[in-house]
This record gives sequence, structure tokens and C-alpha cells, in this order.
Amino acid sequence: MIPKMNSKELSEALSTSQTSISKIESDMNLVKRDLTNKLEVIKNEQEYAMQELLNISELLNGATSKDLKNRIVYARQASLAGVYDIYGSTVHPKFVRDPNNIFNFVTSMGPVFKNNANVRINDAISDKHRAILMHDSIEGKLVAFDEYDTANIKVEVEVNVGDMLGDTNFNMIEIAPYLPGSFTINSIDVYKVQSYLTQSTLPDYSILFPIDKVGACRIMMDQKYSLYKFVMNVTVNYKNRNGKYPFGLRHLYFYNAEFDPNSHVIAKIEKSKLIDWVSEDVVVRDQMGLRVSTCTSQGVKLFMAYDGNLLQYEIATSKGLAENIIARNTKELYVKKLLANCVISLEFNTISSR
Amino acid sequence: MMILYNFRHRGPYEYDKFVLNILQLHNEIALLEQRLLEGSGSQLSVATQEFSTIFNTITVDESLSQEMLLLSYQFE
Repeated sequence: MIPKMNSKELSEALSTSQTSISKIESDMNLVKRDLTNKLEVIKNEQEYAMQELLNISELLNGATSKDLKNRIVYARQASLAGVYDIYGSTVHPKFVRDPNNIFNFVTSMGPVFKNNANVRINDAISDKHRAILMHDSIEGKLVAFDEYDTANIKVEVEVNVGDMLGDTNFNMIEIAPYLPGSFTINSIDVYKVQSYLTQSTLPDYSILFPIDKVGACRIMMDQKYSLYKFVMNVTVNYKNRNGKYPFGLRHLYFYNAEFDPNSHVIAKIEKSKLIDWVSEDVVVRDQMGLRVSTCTSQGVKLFMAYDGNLLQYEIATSKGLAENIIARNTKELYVKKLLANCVISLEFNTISSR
Repeated sequence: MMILYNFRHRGPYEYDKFVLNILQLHNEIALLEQRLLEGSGSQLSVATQEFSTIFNTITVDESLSQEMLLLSYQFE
């Protein structure tokens, strides 16, 4: 006798089919959404890169040999020496050990995301935005990228204090934008957990000066803060073909790091002629923006030779009318800079040659 | 789900047709799943992974835009 299915079994078969087709549909939608988001990023990245290429061409046409020879952009140097770490555009004091990424556990299977914070971009909260805290190597990480109608964008990270997984102490931020250089950070405010508990509305740490043309970079805090809330206000300086302001972060990491106090970086400057003297005045671009300074205040020292990890024949810099002429014939300099924060470039006002 | 059968006018075959429809639907979906996993679906999966690799290459820390940003730091 052929067994007959009862109504319960038939109902289950129907239910299984419904579940299967729903899963196929949702999987397809996920793939479609992921591809659409990524295509949107690629489209904007290519368009932005083309525009930047034109800008670079104009800059190259107007550049002088002084710009080429007197300025050190650390991330572009073929070889650097010293005790340092580098990320994106910035060099910074060396990590004593791998930093602790406060939103990602490190396990033998790879990083695991601690899902205990909300991320709002222009007050909109979503899983997509939360993905900026997630480690890049985690599979299925969403793409936090959008085209906005307004140039001013607010990024807020708020830790769920009632659901803390480990401490949230951090002293360094790592930012990786999808469109490097397309926006300016106007301000950063950090609120500690203690401030949440005392219901204080004043930030515990603030960066109130604008940081222009932000690329992949790191920013050091003056000390460790137990993160409750992080607020970053940015202005997007690039408008795409649709008249929108594209903005997105690949990641925003908060590191709890220990730094080597003896950190320094050594870069080489080569000139085609013999060097006479070098000015004391420099222009430095670091995490606090572009500013005029001096070699002394920046912890910069110059040497004529670097051999076997040993800097030799220190050169005195020149200020005002007093020119400290270099006694030897040399066409190259080794510039040692002590690292107290994240530095992008260093430019000497004058490197006189003959 | 409440099902009403008109056995008086249509006879017991109505029920058989209903059962066959459910089983046919179930089998069609099972086959679709199989085809997706082994055929076009796996190709789609490979293509998606390749696309993700390209995407990651474009958006890594050493991307073209990042390199151009460093160039602009050099010359601005």
C-alpha cells in the first residue's frame, strides 16, 4: 500500500518550501545590495580619482624644485629608518606590542566584532554604519558609504554602557575613508564613561581645529580615555556628478596602545648640488594640521651621515642672518625627528646649496 | 490554513490534485536550490568573490586616491 501523507506532513512540506524560497530571495537581495553599495563606492572613487588626477597635474605644473627637495612626506619616502610605525599618510611612535582594537576581539580564528556600540551618521542609526567599527577582515562586513545632500556630516559612536564587553580605554584613532582626501574633520569630541555616569554633557577631549584632506591616517590622543561617545564633524569637500556629497568610512578603529618613548624617524634628503646651510624654520603637517614651527621645537636634528644605525656629523641649523655653513662637502642630509604624535610631512624653509 | 473541498461535486481527485500541487511546488523549490548551489548560484558566488577582491584592491589603504593624496601633500 502506498503510504499517504497526512495534512500535517503536507503542511510541513509547504512550509519548508516557503522557508527555502524566502531564504533564496533574502540571500539574493543581500548579494544585490552588497554589489550595489560596492559599485556606488567604485563609481565615486573613480570619479574622484579622475578629478584629483587633474588637480595633481596642475600642482605638478606649478611645482618648483624647492617643493620636491625641501619637503619630506614620510609615507612617500622610499626608505625610512628609526623606531616608528606607519599607517596610511602618517608615521607615529612605535607600538610596543600590537594595539588592542577595542571593538574587535583577537582570537585564533581571527578578529571577532564586539557588537556593543551604535553608530549614527547624520543621526541615522543602522547596521551598515556600525560596520565601520568592524575589523576589515571579518566576512560579510557591510559597506558604510552614502551620497548625502549636505556637505556637513556628523559621525557618532556611542557605546552601550549597560552591555560592556571589556574596557573601552583608547588613546589612538585609525581612520580609513573610502575617498581619501575628500573631506575635512572640523572637530572631534570624546566623552568618557565616567561622564556618562555623572551625566556630564561636556566633552572630556576635543580637537577643535580643522584637519584638512583626511586620508587613511591615525590620530593620537593626549592620554587614554574610556570611550562612551565619540563625535566627529566633517565637511565633505567633493561634490559628485549627481550633485551629492559622497562619504563613507571603511573603518574607524579605536586603539588602546602602548608606545615606545624613544620613537623617532630618520629620512634622507638628497640635493643635486652641495648643501651650504639649512634653515631652522620648518613647516610641519601632522595630526594637528599644517603649521609653521622650528627644528628645535619639533625635535628635529640634522646629520651628514647615517651608517650602521649610527647618525654622524650633526649639522647646526641657521636662523635669521646667522648662517651655519656646513664645513664639509655634502649633497645629502639625514633628518631625525622625534615622534610625539602622528606626522605626515616636514618641510625646511630653506636648504641653501651652491 | 483552512481548505474547503467540494467532494460532492468534484470527487476525491480534487484532494489528490491539491496534494500533488504541494509536492510539485516542494520539488521545484528543492531543484531550484540545487541548481543555485551547484550551477549558476556557485558561478554567482565566484563572481561576487572576484568582485569583492577587486573592490578591496581599489579601496585598500594604498589605493590610487590615497597615493594621489600623498602626492598632493608633496606638492601643495
